[in-house]
Amino acid sequence: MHGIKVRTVLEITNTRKIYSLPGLRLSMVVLLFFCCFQTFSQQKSQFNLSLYGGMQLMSERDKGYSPLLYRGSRPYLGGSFRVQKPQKEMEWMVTFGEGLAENQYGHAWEITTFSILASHFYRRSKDQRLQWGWANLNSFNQRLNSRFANFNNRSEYFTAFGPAVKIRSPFTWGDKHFIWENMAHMQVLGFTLASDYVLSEPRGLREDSGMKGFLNMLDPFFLGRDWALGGVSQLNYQLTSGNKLGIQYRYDYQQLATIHPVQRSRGAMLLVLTVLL
Amino acid sequence: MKKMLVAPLLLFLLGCEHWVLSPDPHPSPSRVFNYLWEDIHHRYSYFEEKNIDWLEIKEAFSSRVQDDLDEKELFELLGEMLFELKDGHVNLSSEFNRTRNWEWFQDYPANYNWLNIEQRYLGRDFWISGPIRHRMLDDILYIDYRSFTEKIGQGQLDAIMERANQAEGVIVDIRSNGGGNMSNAFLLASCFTETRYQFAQQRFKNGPGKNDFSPWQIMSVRPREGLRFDGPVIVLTNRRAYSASTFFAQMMKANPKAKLLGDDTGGGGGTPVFGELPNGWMYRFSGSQTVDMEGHHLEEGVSVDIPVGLRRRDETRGIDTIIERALLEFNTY
Repeated sequence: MHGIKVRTVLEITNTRKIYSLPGLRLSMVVLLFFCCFQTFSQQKSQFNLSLYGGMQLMSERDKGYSPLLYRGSRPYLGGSFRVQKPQKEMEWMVTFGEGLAENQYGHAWEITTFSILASHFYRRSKDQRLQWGWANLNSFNQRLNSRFANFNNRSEYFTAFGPAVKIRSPFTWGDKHFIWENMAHMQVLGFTLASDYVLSEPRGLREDSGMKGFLNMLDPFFLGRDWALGGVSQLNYQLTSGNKLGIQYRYDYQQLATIHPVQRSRGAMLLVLTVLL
Repeated sequence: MKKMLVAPLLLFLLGCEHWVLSPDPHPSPSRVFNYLWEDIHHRYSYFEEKNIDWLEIKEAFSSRVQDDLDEKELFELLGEMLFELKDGHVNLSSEFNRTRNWEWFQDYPANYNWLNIEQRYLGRDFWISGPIRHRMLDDILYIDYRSFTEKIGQGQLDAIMERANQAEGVIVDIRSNGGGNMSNAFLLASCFTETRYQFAQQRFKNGPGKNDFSPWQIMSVRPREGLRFDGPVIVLTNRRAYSASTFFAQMMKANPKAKLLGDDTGGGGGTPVFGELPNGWMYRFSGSQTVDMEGHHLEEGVSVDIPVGLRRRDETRGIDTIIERALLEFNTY
């Protein structure tokens, strides 16, 4: 009994410490998220959370390293959060992949990719098949070449905006409900940040610090000189609970006119679990 | 519905993602030759300093490139062309051979006899702290570091510095150390200074033009946070001390408490950059320039403060003239 009292007193006196725990902070963020979510819900919005997992086939060429094409497959994971309103649909997709790619002589690179695709579609009604909108793609790619003793990683990041289109086709097969959704996007304008001519880090990083250095590192991204386009084709089986099980094919093509051109083409086959929040 | 599933599934299973990308260039001898020549033309950093006319070299070699050359003939020809760069950081590597230019030490006296060092100076009771062997020679600590590729641990450095602080001076022998990781060179040099000091300037190629370089960046040595030695240091060098060893020699040359003794280092002031040819062979070349604070290129080597050669008569008697001279030199500090 006495022990319990002491423990309670200790907990009270250590309140400041308890609040600094990461778990507690995370809980507060989750709570805040659900408060916002509740506010949105009252505006007749629908929320979906999807998790993806599967394999990606990739082909990549970085002329800063080699004229040869490096190909391989790797596990590919992701998640997305979709908000559906009567006249608007927004989605944020996060994907991650890491794996080895080899050229025809068996030399390998380790390629890491992280990207966020944010899309907004506009519609007159929820049942409208064809929807137009825009997408912002943020993509980071890194190639690690362990055969090279110096400057053995090259990477680039770009963010770009462009138009996007979505075709939504719900149908029934027997008594089962399906939705076939196809989305395509093409980036038009943005900026890139890429490895320098021989160095791994971006140009200017060693020369200037602060905002001037940062601006020196940036290169414009514009359609025609640079290409970044992709598509997602997803077939969902709608469960009675409102949740969905699906299969997704996702393709993306990128060609960047960085100081050494980079080209890549990738296709992923993924299983998707979508939960209605 | 089957069609919906089959189309993307087929795309994935057939691995068609690479169809949209251009195929690999054909690895014909002429294409491989041109690719290598062009990349060196754009990214090599010492054409002007070495007064090399790379266009003239292309003319001289391209007439010998025939598409019926076998891979060994092509390898030899490309190796000959790269040899013209007179650079120890230039190599072509295949499964069967590696081309190189080792004139930076082959045309000079060795000034090094490992057997004598082992028998007379290291003896049997030397300490091994990671990659470094060390032994007290009376009141001087003799440090022998064979390759900068071997990483020195902080604990190992502490052990060495503890012994150094019991000595009147330190000899660091990097003769015939072919280089390796620059971070080890910085780490070792950081043990012998109490203040941060500048020792060189470096710039990197940042474009295909002859004069496309980044601005010169100052290189400096910062004092180590752990144990250090504040007394006199003599660094022993020879022509076979190359690359990271040349950088270390320059770091120590700029340190007012240190002297270089022996023969000038072999050079290797350009940081090697790597590439791959259309036939999968790997090559490397210098992609940067480094100069000391007076503007002399480290590519030509670092000159010693006290030039001393290994005397043949001493060598046959098991004596290392350079170490003996270093031991004497401490009397003048």
